[in-house]
Amino acid sequence: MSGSGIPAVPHDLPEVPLSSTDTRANRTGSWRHVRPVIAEKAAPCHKACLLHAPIPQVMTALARGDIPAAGASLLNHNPFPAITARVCPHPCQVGCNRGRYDEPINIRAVERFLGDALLHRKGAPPDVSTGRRVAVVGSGPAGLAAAFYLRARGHDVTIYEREAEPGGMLRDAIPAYRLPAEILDAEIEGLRRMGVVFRCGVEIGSDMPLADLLAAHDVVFAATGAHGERGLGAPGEEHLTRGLEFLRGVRRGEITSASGTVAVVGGGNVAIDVARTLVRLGARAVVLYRRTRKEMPAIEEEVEHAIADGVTFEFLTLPVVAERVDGHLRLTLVTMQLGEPDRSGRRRPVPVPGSEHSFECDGAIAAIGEVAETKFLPKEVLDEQGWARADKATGATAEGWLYLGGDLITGPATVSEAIAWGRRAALAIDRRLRGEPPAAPERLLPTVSIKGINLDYFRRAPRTVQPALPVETRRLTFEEEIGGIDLVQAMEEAARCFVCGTCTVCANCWAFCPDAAIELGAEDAIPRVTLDYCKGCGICVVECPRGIIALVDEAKVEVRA
Amino acid sequence: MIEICIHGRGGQGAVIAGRLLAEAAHRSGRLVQAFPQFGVERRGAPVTAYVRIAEPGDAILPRCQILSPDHAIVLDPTLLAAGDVLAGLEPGGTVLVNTSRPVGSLPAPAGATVAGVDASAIALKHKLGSRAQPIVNTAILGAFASLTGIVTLDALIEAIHAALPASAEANVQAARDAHAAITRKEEEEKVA
Amino acid sequence: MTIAWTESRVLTGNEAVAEGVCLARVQTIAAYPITPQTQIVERLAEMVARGELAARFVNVESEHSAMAACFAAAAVGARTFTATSSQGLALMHEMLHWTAGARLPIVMANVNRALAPPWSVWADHTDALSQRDTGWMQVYAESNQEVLDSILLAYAVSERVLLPTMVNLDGFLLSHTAEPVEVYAGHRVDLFLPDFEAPYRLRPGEPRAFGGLADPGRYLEFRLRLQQAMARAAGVIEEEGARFAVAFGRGYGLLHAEMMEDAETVLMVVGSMATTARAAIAQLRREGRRVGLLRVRVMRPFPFGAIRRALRGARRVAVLDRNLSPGHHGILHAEVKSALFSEPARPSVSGYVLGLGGRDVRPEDIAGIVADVERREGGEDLIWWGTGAPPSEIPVPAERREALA
Repeated sequence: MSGSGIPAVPHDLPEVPLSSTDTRANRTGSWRHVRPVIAEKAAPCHKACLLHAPIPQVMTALARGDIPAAGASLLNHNPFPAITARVCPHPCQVGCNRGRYDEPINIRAVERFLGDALLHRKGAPPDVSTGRRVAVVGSGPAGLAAAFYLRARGHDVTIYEREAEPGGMLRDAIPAYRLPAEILDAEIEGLRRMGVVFRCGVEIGSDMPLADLLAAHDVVFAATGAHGERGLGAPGEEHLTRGLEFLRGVRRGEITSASGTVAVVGGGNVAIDVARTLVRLGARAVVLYRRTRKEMPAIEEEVEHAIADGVTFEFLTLPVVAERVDGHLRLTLVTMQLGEPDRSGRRRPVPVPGSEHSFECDGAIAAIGEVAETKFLPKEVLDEQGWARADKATGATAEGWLYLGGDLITGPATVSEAIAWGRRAALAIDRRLRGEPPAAPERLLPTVSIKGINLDYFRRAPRTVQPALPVETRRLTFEEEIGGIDLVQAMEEAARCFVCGTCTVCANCWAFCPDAAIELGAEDAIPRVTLDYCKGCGICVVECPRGIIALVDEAKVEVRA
Repeated sequence: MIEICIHGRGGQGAVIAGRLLAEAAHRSGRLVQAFPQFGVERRGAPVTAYVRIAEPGDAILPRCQILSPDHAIVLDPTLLAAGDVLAGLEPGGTVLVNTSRPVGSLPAPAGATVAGVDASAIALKHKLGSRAQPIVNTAILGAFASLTGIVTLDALIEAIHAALPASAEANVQAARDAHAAITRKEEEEKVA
Repeated sequence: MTIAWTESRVLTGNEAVAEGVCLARVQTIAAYPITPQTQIVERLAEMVARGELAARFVNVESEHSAMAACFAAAAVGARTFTATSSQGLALMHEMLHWTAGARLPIVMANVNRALAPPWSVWADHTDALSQRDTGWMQVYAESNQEVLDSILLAYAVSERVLLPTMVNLDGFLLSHTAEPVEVYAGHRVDLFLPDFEAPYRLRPGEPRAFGGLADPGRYLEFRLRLQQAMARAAGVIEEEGARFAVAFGRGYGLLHAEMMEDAETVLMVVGSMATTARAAIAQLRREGRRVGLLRVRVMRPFPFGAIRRALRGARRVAVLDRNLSPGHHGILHAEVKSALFSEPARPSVSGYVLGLGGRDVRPEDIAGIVADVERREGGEDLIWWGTGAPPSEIPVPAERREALA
């Protein structure tokens, strides 16, 4: 190892190839022509959810076993997860990005776990009282939801209910095998613990004029639902029982059995509930629907369950005459065909000439449609047809003190939609009572598709399945047919969630950035891009597991700024 | 320098036997070297372990295979049928075989001291290994200590405790039983 | 009361590596198992799991990743270790350049094993010598005691000169051979090898570039720095070896010479073969033959000066290579010849290639080579030893005879 011939080394040459200065001296940000923008996006489940519940946040918290945090996130958008977990059709699961990878997250099962876990713990009185008073008319899902959020914000809330017990459709229409009474009772008990006052057996309009109610309250929120039932509109319609009336009779124990063949006319959720209830009472149910299965407004899964239960369906069939013959009921049916689309976008059924035929049965129930009763409302909030009108975003009406919501406005819809109305109205009423201007409508962020998810960061894992009664058992009983999952299952299922569009501060962007241009803030703050060093290479965009970072053309950003 | 070959089949514990013998000799202050026939050991395949033992001083234990051992230990008598396991045995060398048969029936080079012990039965008695594959290494070493005196039974027991702490008692008992049970060919002939 | 300063234990070479790493209080280990190195990884993983060694054990998917993880750990100043063998070392090749170029004092145990094909798991030095131009120091141990000692020495040297060290031990011949090893008490090792304070390291909050771009105006000088470090390392290895001798009673250097006074014929060897050669030469000495033994312990930095000095007065040298540079000769042979070229009076040098792929090398082979080299006064560059016949007489497959003629 001769030293001769070795040239003089520049004295500033470091001993090892480690930069002598902080790399921050090199402002690589000047090379950038595109810029990563870190901005959270909407998950498809969140967007599809009728309540826009923050599902990714709920899953993130639950995956680490933090039930209080998961519950707080969920309750902020859904006051009654134990109810919705049982009756909501869960459109959230249809759009789940995980469904394009292996199987969608079982959001319903997780919601059910959380809802049941919180059921008896919810219901602390508010910390502050505003002294403002709100009357809620109707104790269905819309009214109960409005009461929950109004009371949580410190207002005094009294609910007026026509029936002897609160709950509306939840108590009187939805069968016990879908929603046991004790779940509803526990939710109502929670509201009572919050300090919500229930006055049952009082019908506004007949027992007490709306004006009297107003005199005692600052604001009235009416959500009286859609209880009026359309008749068949055909000769002999008096021979048909009305669907809601039947369901109410069963839930109150007034109807305990059925036999023979019973026709159910209609294709909505009430029709399916009636048909499945008939099976459990011992009858054979035949659903007659004038369109095809595709056009049925009923929850698809309920239709499948009905078929499994043994309910039969006659599509493109309409009764035009009902008559009593020898203790039987004879329906004259007409075969229909689908014509031009009507205003709802569904193809209008048209009778096939000469297709009349008779159908013998032991009874028939009409579940053709429910309508709102609006007699008790002031004319100012009704349109020319007599339907109630209210602002979709707030429930506000032409009468400033009166807010409306739920099926009263929409006609028959899902429980979740009614809860969403109640929540929106409560938030608007709260602002009004505080003297604040109405809030800008909530805008949803752009949605993350499966293309935004970096699947390399996720492992395939089977979906958690809820236990269910076997078909041959469930069709004999009103016991709840779907069971719940335990904490470990719920945590595992929550851990499957991609958490699309929501930053979990996984710090991948920070770890991968070759220019140390990502700054991590406080514990759960979303990382920031340091533009002095970001050269716009896009590695962070690729390595973000959940599609939060996007590259934006630098020129466009400048223009916008 | 003493050179020892231990012939067995994968799973019988030949390699551990080599290490135990080295450990026991090391405890009496001697130079030792133990190594397996280098390869990829598989259950049932023939395996050879080698041990060199020397008094301290200027002895050098070369790093190569043992071709002409002073002693051969055979854990499975069926290996004798192959014929070459005893090839190279030094004249006057010792052969110790795990066998239930009379020692006189064993093939062995002329002039060799031949002895046998039913190490399989002793191992099974102490629940070492399975019936299909008893682990006979500690038993046969007990017999080897008795036969050659190269290591004492006490040193062997110490080595077993150090190397096999989890199953020391059964292995020590097996070594003790075999130490007492060994049959030498000449004794057998005397009895006959 | 007596204090146990050392404990004599019967250990395999692999176990000796693990004991050395544990005594060195290594902080990060990233390694991937491969025969015949596997027990090193297993032992260390156990030691970490049991809390005997307060290190982070990083599971990786390949040797390349192992060395990449070591790079990162060493760059933040952790005392870092890995172990591999043969094909695994070959896969690490790129990262060996990276870690040496970045001047990171990583220590690795390489269990020498032949490269495939044909598949072989047995001893051969070609794996390590293929990496001799990466900038890693290379030490070859003769015994399991030297394996343990060399791990400790490697950290002592590497952390002074800022170069990584590869400690080599022969597959099976050391890795799987159990023999007595003195294991030192931890507090004594702590005195010899205190905690590492890296003079250059990455710190969070003060980002710097390790191994960033050097333009043509600088790269040459960085290589010169590397060469200077290697030159300095030769002295540091001797110094630390002497310090080790004071601490533990055993000294180590670059080149170990034995029976060299008045030696006319000198055998040069590397690694565990030295023990067998010593046994054979001691016998030859007893027969009055003037034979000496030179063991090259360190191949990088190559001990040019020490070899020249040691061979002054020798008439002939037989260099025993357990390796082959195809198209050249045995690698040590070539390097010894290059060291001797500038000497005015130099011995004849013959190169023997033997023991490849774990072929047994016996005292009879050593004696045979001594007899063979004494017949070759002018030296011969490549002598295949142990093939049973000269290369020219090994028959060519009949169907290829024409093509190969």
